[in-house]
Amino acid sequence: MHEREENLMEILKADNIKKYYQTGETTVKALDGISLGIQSGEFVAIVGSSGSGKSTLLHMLGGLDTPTDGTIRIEDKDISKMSADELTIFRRRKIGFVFQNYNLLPFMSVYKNIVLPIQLDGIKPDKKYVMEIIETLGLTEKCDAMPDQLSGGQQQRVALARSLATKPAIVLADEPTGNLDSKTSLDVLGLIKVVSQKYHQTVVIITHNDEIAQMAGRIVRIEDGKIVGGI
Amino acid sequence: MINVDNQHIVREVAQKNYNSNIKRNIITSLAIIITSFSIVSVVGIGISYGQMISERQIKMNGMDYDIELTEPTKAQVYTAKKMELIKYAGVSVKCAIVNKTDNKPTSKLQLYWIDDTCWNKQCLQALDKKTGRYPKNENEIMLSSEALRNIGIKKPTVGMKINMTYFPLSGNYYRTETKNTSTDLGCIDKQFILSGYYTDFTGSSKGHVSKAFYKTTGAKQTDFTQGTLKISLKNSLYSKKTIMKIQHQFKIHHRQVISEDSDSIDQFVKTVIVLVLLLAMIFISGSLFIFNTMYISVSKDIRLLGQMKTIGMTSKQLKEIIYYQAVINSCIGIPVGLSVGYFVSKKLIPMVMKMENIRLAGSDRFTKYPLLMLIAALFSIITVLFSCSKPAKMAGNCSPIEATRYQNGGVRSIKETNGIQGMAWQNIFRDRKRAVIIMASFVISIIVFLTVNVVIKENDSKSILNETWKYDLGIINEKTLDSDEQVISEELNKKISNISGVDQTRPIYSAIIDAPYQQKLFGNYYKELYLSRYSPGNYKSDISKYEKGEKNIKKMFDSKIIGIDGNELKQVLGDSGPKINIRKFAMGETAIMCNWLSLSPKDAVNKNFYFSTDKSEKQNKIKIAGIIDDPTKFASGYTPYIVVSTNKFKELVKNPVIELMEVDYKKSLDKKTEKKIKEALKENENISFESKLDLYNDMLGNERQIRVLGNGVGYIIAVLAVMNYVNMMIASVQNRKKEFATLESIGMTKKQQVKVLIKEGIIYAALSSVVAFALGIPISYVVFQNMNIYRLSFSVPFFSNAVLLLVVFMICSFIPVLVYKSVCSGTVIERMQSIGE
Repeated sequence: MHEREENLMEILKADNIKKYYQTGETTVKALDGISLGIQSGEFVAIVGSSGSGKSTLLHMLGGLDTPTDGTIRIEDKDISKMSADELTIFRRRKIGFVFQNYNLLPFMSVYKNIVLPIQLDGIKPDKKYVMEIIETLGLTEKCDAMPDQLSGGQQQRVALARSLATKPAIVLADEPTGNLDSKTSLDVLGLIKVVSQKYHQTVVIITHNDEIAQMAGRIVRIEDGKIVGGI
Repeated sequence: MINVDNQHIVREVAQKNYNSNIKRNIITSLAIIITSFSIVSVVGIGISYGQMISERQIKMNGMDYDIELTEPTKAQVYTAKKMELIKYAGVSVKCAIVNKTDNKPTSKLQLYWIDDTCWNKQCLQALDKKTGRYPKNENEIMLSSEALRNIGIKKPTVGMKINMTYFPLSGNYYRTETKNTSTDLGCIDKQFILSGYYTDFTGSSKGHVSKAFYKTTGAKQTDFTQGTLKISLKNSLYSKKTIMKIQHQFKIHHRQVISEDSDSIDQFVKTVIVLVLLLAMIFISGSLFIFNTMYISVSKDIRLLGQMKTIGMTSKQLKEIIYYQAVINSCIGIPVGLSVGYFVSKKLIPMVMKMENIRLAGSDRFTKYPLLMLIAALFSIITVLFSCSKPAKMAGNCSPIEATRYQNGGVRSIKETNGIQGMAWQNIFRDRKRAVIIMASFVISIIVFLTVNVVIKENDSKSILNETWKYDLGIINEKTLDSDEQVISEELNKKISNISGVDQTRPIYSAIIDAPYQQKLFGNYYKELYLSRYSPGNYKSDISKYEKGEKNIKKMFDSKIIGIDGNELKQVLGDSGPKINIRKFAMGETAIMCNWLSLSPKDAVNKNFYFSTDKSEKQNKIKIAGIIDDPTKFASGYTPYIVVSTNKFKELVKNPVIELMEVDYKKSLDKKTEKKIKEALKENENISFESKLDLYNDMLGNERQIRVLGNGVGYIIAVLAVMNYVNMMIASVQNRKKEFATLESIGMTKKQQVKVLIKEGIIYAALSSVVAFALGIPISYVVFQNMNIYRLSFSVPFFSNAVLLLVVFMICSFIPVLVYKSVCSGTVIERMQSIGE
């Protein structure tokens, strides 16, 4: 019972998140009171049509943007009250990000891109662990390659490896397969699922594709800045 | 293919793209502004600076001419005025010497008559200030500021009466006037009226008289060492061939010489090379600046242009867009840069000079600007277009997909390093070409600054005077030739040395000595003397009489013994003097001989010199250890003088008299100390002064102008160097906005990024400084030596260079941080998603 309770610990809790933009006279409500909880080890997909606010929500959850109102707690820490540097450090240690356009540093090799967040903490990377991730993601032979020498799928796997390297509390992936073909998309999603299970990693992905969303353990639907299903 | 009219849409796309990147385009325009500005202002002010230096040189010479012919005949003067090669030929004759003013001894004030050509065409431009006019009447006189100082007139007025005693220089005066052949004989008292006075930078005490007065003296322009023909050539860059041609036309006799500066062409060529080098560096620095900024700017658009290609824009159209934007930046940047450059050179600098209360001689001090501005504009536009050519070619030629994938410059991973520690190096050198261009531009600007600084220091009056003057103040015994009176006594020497501010005094003793005929030592010398233009007469006859000891001839061959202390010895030997045994000299075992005519060390060194002092029969003998220049003021007979230690002098001469006392101050050109000394000596009528400070004060007005111009050039170049870096850093940091956001998204804090930027800045500063100084110091040395007409010793201007270094490090460290803070505002995601600047 106790173990199950631990396993079911709430890793992320968002409470009444709002994000409003003022454009002249008009107020755009990108998020309009979203509350969400995610358990440790869960693989959650947030689904919504274009302009539904799903990416905005993910950016809030990852501390890349600040909500107009509401609180976000990750591992019981309120990130909405942190300063920019505190948030950055927190993000480095606790949140792994995978972007639609990979956002790898073009002047660093694959290996260096992966270990950079660890090195930013002044820590020597656990090479064994990092190589394990690299092997799991099929990147062993690409360690010294530069990002522009890789295909889209390979780049996204590097981005995924980078997000896992620091053993974060949660991995947030914003349309990770958005720039990939269908076969590669399934490959990458498959890998996300594998690592989620293997490392008991909490993963939240954003997608507009229902088929991809089906691969997740839980689906949360969002429309017009509100959750409409699957809380 | 059907031709379609789509020019307007291409232009519209170009315009909109331009408008959406305003910040970036401002940076690019700024690079063009700075380059155009610096070319106009640096070259414009630099030319004025050069002109002022040249003018100062003329003023230090006292007259503007190229060559001179000694003792010209009337026929030669006529020939000169008709000669094709000659622009002006003016006659100058030394016709009298004033030895008293208001019955007080006057330092030998030489009076000259010069003809109208000489005065109007060759003298006037060499004067810094002039009041009144050239003497017309027989009783009129015009005096130099040094002459007025020497005769004690502090506030001269035109028309004032001055009573003078002079002796006319009629006949062969040279070296016949010696001690006790009294100048009282043949002296004339006269009341002159001051018709005018002037300041030049020669520091010499002289005056000018009318033709009427000149005629009364009996002096002739053909008298030995008195008359000269000052010749200004049509082409100042004359060769030996030109001189030979002129000499041939003059048909000069054996005593006449044409004095010329054989180095003039050589010097001119060296100066031109140096100026071209400096100009080239300024141009290169400016062009690298524009190139780098344009390249960054255009390269950033490659992806966008690639996208446009995917929707159907042709290569030609893409190139047009790039060039169109470049032309807009040029149309903004060039006129602004030229205008600011013109304003600074033509308005601001003269305003600063007027604030210093400087009288600006000449109505237009500065360069002709239209040509300069045209050159600057052409240079800038050519550089801009050249900078765009590579990215434009790339955008035009590569496939759409490659263009969308384009990364600015080659990206390479540096060897395994700890993330943050190696990041700064990595960031600088990940695009090696760009790093080299940024540093090259910076380095060249710093080198130009170093070099210009050295040139400014080289032309600084203080440096020149400190190098060319042996002492701060010379105190001269005006009765040296007339009597054995202790005008400058030992007590006075002590009194002066005890004045605070005085570093040392160096008394120089002198006395006339008899020198018998000495074949061994002077055999060659006597022959050379009689072959030279200074020949006293007939060699055979004179030498024969000399050998026999005939009184008059023997008198002609009088010599002088000079006594100096250890400090003066150091001065006269200097760094390049003869190597002598100091101990033996101090003990009186050896002497040094003074240079005269063709006397060579080979003839004199290690030989004995025989002489007697105080008109006694006792003959003394001393070995000659070396040869130096004569440190004294007054002449004696034809036999070269000897220099011994003070102790030896006092041993040999019963009544040692100080001819000259050289005084050095603790702080050069110290007004207070000089005032104290002159105050202490004001009652002494038989003393005159040679003051470095007086000459410097005469030059001060001119010096301030030169400094404003020189420093103006220096500061503008320093600003160019700094702005160069600042602009490139702004562009660089702007371009990395997304990269910084990405780094922040994966956990690199702003503090960490700032640290990396500061490190990058310090690395840039350190590398640039090391290279700049390593290259700059030798380059500035070469430049210095090629322009070193005063034979100054080279030294690096440490203070200004240290300040520059400090500024470089501060700028390099702080500017990227400031730019980062302004660029990296907003949330992480906003910055990651930003498309334009």
